[in-house]
Amino acid sequence: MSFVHLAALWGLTLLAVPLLLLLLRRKKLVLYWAAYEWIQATIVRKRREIEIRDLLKLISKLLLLVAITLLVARPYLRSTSSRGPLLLVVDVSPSMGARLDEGTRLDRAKRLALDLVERHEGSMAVYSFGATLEPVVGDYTRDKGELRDRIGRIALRTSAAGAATLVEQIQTGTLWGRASRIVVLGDFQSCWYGDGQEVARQVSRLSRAHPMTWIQVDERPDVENLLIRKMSLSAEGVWPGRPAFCDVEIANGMARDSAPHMLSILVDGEEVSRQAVKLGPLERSTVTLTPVFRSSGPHNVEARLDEDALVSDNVRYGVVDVPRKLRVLAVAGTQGVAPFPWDTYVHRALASALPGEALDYRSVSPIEFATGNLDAIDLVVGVNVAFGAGSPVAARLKPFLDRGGGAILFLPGENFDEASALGLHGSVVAPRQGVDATKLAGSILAFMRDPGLKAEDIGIAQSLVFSNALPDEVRLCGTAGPVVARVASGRGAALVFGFTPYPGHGDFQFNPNFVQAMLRSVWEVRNWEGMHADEGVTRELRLPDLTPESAYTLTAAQGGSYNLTLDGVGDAARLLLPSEFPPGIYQVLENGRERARFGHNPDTADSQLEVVDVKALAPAIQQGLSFGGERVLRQGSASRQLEALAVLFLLAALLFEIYAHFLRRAK
Amino acid sequence: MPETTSRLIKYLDPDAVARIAAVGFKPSNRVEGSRVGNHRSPFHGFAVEFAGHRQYVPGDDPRHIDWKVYYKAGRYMTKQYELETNFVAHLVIDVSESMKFAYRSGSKADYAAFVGVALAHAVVAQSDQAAVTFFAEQALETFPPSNADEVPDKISRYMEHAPLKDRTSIGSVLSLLAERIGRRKVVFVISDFFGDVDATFDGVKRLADNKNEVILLHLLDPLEIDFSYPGRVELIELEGTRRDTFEGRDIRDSYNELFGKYLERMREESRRHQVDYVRCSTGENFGITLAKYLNTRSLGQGGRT
Repeated sequence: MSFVHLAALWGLTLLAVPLLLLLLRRKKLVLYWAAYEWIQATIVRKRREIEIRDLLKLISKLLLLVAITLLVARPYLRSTSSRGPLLLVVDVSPSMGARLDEGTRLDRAKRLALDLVERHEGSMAVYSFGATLEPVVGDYTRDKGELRDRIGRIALRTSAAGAATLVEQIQTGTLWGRASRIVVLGDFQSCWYGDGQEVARQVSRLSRAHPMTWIQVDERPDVENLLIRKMSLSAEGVWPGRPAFCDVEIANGMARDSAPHMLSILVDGEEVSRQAVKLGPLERSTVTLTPVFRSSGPHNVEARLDEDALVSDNVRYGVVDVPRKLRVLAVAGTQGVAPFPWDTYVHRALASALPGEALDYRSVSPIEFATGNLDAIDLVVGVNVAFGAGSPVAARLKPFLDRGGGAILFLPGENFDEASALGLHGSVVAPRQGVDATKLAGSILAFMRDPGLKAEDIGIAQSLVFSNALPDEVRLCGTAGPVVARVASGRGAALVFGFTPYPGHGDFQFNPNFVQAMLRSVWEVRNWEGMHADEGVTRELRLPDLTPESAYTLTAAQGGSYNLTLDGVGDAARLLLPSEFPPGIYQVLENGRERARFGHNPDTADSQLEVVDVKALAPAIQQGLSFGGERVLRQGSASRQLEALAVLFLLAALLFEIYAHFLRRAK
Repeated sequence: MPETTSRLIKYLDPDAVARIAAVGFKPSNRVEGSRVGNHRSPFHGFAVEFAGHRQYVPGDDPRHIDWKVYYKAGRYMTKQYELETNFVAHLVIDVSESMKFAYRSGSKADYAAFVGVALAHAVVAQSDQAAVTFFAEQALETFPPSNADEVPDKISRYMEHAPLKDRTSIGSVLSLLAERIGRRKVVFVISDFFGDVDATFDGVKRLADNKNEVILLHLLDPLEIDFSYPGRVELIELEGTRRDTFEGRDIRDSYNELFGKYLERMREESRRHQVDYVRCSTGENFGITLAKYLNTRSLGQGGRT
């Protein structure tokens, strides 16, 4: 026999204190007695009776102590006599991949399960539980060979659901009604059972005839675990040979300081950037690394933390499609009073913002623009190009923007004809009419990333706010009164109003930082998705021009493939992904040809490996849930029998005391 | 205030003395006294009360020849008269250690002192003599017969400083007393009689055989008669070294039964030896108890209750 709360046995000493005090403090009358002969004769006659009763009283007191101790210490027998049907559930959520001294939590759970198979004399059914309850051995069987074989093949899943879901799914099934005992082997983080109330409610619905036991396979209090929650690229765009800004959101899964860890970015398997990280208790932080993509085209990107207890959440996969070149078409409008080498300025600014080989720059006249082909153009830069609705320029530019093209337009006047022509409706507001100048200046500084630019250099004259733009997305800058509006319209246009570049006005507008800011603005407006990655819960994929005639497969870079099902037709067509597939880089192939590539990432929902809060489980325990480590595995109903025995002891002792009390009074 | 008076105040209860004096003590049997008194003597003499005739023998005083009988019967007969004398009351007071016992009421020794002083006072007051013997295992102190008023004082003084030690050995003490006091005396034995009953009544028998009138005043504490204390109690033997702790309620019935048998035997033995047996509870007023006993005697019902 052992005890769930072994330390509670020390409580015996505390129980002895009041007993001792009671005995010591008990009053007695001391008499010097003369008629001792008759007292002695009485004692001789009554000695046996008194001795027996004293013995019974002693026994009742001992029973009382034993009963209280048993109730607190909760003893259990290492019984192997369990014969009833046993429903075993093994937690296969990602957190069960946490490493122990030997193997993982899942390995240990499997060992315990095999141990249970050997000892259990009745039939068993085995299920695994990640996000759903899946049969391992679907029906009760006594075939220990089959049980061992199937348990040995249990593997981790990539997603997790909570305890309430588990209990609910157990109740939904048909097996639990036959189970004399339900055992769940898992790690039981608090994120798994929440505040415990829902679990208690669910457990209360299980009959007492089907007691549930949770066996915690890992009771270590100090598990180290950092995890990567998200990886993304910032909106500057990614160009070959130029450092990109890669934001990695990391978190500490433990309620204590983490040890120092190394965060790395790997491009096509090669580490290109790294940084040491250290987080406080449960802290989240975004770390920006600057990987360099040496060539255009899709690249496999991995963010990795060095190893801790749980390695599955130490990696994040993504695919970055690096543009081959930025194809720019510059359009020269009406020259100003004095000739101005705008073409030189624009080219110089773009060239400084992009690596040389990434820029395909060409300049045309408005007439050429109106008749030219924009299919091979990414960005149109217009200088002093005035146009109105129905003009040839507008007729060319609007479809270009609609299909995702970018435009930076330096406009000569302060009217909105050009905006209207492009379908952008807005009005001019003064800074004090809804625009926070200070916030705006700070935003501009961050936007420009120009160390030479000071807040006091930024004078905000007025703002152009379009009906579908948010006020804080309108960024204004300039020292001589030009108005710049970034249009958050869902179209790739940046319009610069009220500005005519001419000599003597400064070349601020052609500052490389300014042009780069314009570029970023255009890219943001285009909602550019630089990183192709999901959050581990992707169930479907939408691609253009999906046809039922084609065969679509999902192929992992690390090996393995899945046939994909096409659902829907036309614009509603989508590819249905498997319910679960391992994290990694995946290609979507259409008839063997790559159509898309993305990173599939592990679910980090249960990555908080903190110590179990037994207090939160108290309501469920009151409802009959047994919870504890491996030793509770052998407790089961035997514990309940002993607890019942303890209660009987207690009642017997109390009844005896009551009986003795009335007996004394009757005398 | 004289010293004697102050001592008398301690053990002399005026109320009890008054009650006893109102009844007085008259021996049931004839007594032998050394002086003329108010009680019948076994000896015949020449006094007022005619007792009978007897044959004249030479040497008799011829003045006591009843000539009327001579004229009628032709024989010389002398007249016999009852001799009236005083009596000697021997107060035999137990001062063994068991007399210390007291629970809520006074100790048995105090009670014995009160009884002894009251009886002595009553005896002396009616011009009889009182002798006192204090005893434990043996006679410790003896005051010879005296009708002086100082007898109660002596008793009081002794009892005030009585050692109250040693066991009771009442049988041997009474046997020795029987040899010493002779015949036809009144003997009050004031004791708790905790000892061998057979030995006790051996001594009593010796006294009774000498035609002494023996009155046993059995002093007991109410708790000794009825062990009614229900709680936990530790008893330490007064005349020994034993001690036991138990719940009073556990032994009450059995003790009361055994002690009741002992009391019954005391009564039966007293009846058998034709001695008076008076049980005195220290919880009761001894004046009332004694007066009741004396009243019973004077009504001729005998004191052997």
